[in-house]
Amino acid sequence: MKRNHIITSDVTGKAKKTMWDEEDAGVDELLAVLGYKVKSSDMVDVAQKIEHLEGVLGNDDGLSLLASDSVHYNPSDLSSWLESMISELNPTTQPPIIDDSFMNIANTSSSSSAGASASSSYNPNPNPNPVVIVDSQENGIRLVHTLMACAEAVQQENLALAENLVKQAGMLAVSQAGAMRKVATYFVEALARRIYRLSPKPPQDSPAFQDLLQMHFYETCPYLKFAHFTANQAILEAFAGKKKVHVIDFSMKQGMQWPALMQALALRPGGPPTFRLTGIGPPSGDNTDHLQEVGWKLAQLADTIHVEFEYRGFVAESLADLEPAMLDLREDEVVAVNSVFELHQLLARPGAVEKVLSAVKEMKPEILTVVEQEANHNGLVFLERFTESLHYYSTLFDSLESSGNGGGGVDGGAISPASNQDKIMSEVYLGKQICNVVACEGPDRVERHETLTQWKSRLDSAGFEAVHLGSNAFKQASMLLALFAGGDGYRVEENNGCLMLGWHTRSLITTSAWKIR
Amino acid sequence: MSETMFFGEPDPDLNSGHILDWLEDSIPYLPSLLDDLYGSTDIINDPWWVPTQELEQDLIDANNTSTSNSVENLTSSVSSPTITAPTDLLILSNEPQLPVSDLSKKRKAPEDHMPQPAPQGKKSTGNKKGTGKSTKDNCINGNNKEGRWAEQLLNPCAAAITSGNVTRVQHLLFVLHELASPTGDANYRLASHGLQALLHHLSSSTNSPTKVLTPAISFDTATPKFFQRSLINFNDINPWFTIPFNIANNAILQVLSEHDHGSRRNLHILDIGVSHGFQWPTLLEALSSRPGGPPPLVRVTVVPPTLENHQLPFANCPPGYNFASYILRFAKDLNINLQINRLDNCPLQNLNTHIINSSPDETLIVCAQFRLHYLNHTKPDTRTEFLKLMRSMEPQGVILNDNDMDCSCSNFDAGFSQSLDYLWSFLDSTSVAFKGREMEERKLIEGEAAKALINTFEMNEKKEKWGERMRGVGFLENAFSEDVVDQARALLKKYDTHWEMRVEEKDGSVGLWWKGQSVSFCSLWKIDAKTSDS
Repeated sequence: MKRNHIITSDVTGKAKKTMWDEEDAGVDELLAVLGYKVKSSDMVDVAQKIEHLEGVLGNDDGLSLLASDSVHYNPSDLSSWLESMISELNPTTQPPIIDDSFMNIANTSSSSSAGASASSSYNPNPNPNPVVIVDSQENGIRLVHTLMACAEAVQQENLALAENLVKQAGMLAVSQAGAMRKVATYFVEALARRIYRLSPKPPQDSPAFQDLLQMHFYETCPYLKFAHFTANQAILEAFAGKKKVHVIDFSMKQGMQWPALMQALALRPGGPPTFRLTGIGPPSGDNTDHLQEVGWKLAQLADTIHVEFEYRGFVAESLADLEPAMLDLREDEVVAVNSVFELHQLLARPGAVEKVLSAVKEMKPEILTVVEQEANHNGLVFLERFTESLHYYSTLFDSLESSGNGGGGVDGGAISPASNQDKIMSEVYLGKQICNVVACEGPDRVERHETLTQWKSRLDSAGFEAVHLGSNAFKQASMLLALFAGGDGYRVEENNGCLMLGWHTRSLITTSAWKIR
Repeated sequence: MSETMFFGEPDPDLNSGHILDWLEDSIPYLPSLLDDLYGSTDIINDPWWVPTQELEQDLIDANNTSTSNSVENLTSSVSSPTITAPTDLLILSNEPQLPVSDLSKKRKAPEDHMPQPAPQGKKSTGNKKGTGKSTKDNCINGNNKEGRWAEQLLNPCAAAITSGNVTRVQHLLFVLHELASPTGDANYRLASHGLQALLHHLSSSTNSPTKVLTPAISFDTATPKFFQRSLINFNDINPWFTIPFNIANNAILQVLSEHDHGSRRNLHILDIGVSHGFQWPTLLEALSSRPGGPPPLVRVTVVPPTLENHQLPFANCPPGYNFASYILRFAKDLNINLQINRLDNCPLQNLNTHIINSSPDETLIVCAQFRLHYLNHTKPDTRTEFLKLMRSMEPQGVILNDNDMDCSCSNFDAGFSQSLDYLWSFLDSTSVAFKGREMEERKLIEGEAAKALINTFEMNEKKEKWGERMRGVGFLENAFSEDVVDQARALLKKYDTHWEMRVEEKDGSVGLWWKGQSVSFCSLWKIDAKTSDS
């Protein structure tokens, strides 16, 4: 059923450090979730080694002070890592600084649970050559365990424990590098907000600010480009041969999806149709009519490429408030309804999705295109949501990291300041989602992402059936990715006629198309 | 006072400093979060934060620069005008519909019986001190398990070991490693001792060459002088032993006055205890000031634990430690004829009138303190056997004093949980006693108490169960005299107010309680006249 098409350019053998490694036999389940290879082979063995280590260390309180060299451990295999530490500690030569480890238990110095890393690195009068390399992978393992334990403590309402763990996770996050540091920091912040009950309340940001963040996200990585492209392909096919077409866009934002469609329509054999666009969006909050402004720009473009264009902006607090009668639907036009990252928000209001889908049916669209995050962040149990989102956003941040570095950008060269800002703003964009998933509850929790399977059954029961996005769309999407430098690692997958874009083994967003049954 | 404690302690709360730092580093809309979290400008004036931040900066500088680069970029981008908007996005929420508020409801339910001075609301509005202190001192708020987070990791880990869930054990060991610390509040310390005990259990439950592991610092390894100083200091600030000792001494006087009726009989004390001699000076003083003077001869027969019981908490002393000479000199000054005998390597089961060399014309009093709980009470029931043996020595009085804990020998995790409960009370009360100060003496005492976690001979019972056993072998419980109870009460006044004494009305035993939880009991027993003829 499921075809996997991996789009990878695999151009270089450069050793990009990825959080994702695909050989995963016998690894720590918890860590495997986040891509760490830690063998859980034998806990007794590990325990013994830890204990031995403590014994060795316990014999010499001043051990770490003797150190003259830094040692960089790479404990991708916990067991052998401990072994190496032990062998280094029974030696003839001077023992090394161990920057962070389990030994702080046995250590009789007054270092706190902050760990030896803190005590050695924070020492204001360090040794003459105090190069201490904080091993981010080792800390990464500790961080993941700490985050998970914190979420569990929140789940079990053990708030004193959760509070301690969130502080510890915060410290560990600081010692991280790259994507892990960023994503962990957002999760720590979200947990802290939940623990201290500081969850952000809506209205959080002005729609303009959210649009801005999303535009940066659009620039940084291929997810939104993919979403727009695949949805447009489906719409274009549905409009084939039609003279009058009407797109009702639930996710108008800055209208970034439509120039490409208009250009495709302009080049259509037999000439372009009359193109009507209804853009729906929330009130701007600052008395500007941004929907209208976007419409003006699109109208100018239409004029340039000689497409007959009609536009209407439509402000709605929620899609659930939408009535088909308001949309001035005409008998002689073919309708497409488009929704990118919108439907899941309706799940925060009981009955809202059902209401919107029935309104969509009344619009009698030729096609309904839906783009959603491929994840279940709407489970009943907090801990499950947390785990799932930690996994999901770790992957996303990892892919973001790769597009920002080296391989990123069509020119493939150094990172321009602008693209760096794009990346940071994209992180803020995703960080807000993390915060919402983890820290919010009830109607405030709007990032209720669900999987394709869940949407499928929901749309099925609303009277829709899936339209296969043709192999043409698949090929084109694949090509787009190949063109988008840094396609290394991204991959498109076809699943029951829907297209998914993912990073390595994990699908992250899904485009699906539907018609009334 | 809370302030001085907070600043005075160098390490345990490093954490809260760092949470600020990383938040500051990486979250654009941080300032408002900080306002919400800590609600005051104190942070800036707080000398504690400033150096930490500098050091943190050092760390970042020393680190690979790519990390700090992105941090700078992040913060600088925030200052650009396009995105200054979200300052209003954080609104401190006091509304009950929020997720945690229903937590607080649930959490409050079981604790109706006690006042809750610092409810959840304090945290949400809280300033830095409010939140910081709540972790460190939340133990003060209750006699329930609120805030006792170490057990929330240790107990599940023990349960996972029992059920063989390797992944979960490994996960919890990782997490314990993160939080455990030999310093800090009782939670950090309990996590540290508990983690050691779990690792010990894991390594000894395999067939690998087992080594006997004792905590790094314990009575066995201390120098006699340090040991002595530590115990004196501890007894001065924590009544854990002082009250039982006091009750025992006064009960000895009580028995003496009830038995010798003015006739001047010798006194013979069989010391099966953990006092290491510290108990006796006050007794000798009291004896010397008795009307009619001290007994003609006072004999103390000390039965130290045998070698195999070296993990029995508080029962051992450093090699070379000998209190006899001190006490003898002291007795001489008081003109008391004192004899001290020490029965080394003599198992309790081997005791008899011959070995202790008792004679019918002396008043024999057995003083069994915190020692008998190591005797097996299941199969074979050496505990009852020993109580019978004690009965056969026909003492005029038995002072029985031990931990008041449920039987914990059923399985590993149940027993471990019991021991944690015991150790919590000990560490918590000791933390209060030391006013949070880190001292070597504190480490020694706590390391000794932590033996309870790895000592496989810990077989505690509740005082009711002990009573049944004593009655079963022919003893009758006697109430302590009013005088005994009053004196102990008076002594307890000098200790922390969370301590209390409760006299059991139906049997006259005295319980020592910490924060509403029974810690130990003392009871006085005499031979049941009905059984003495048989």
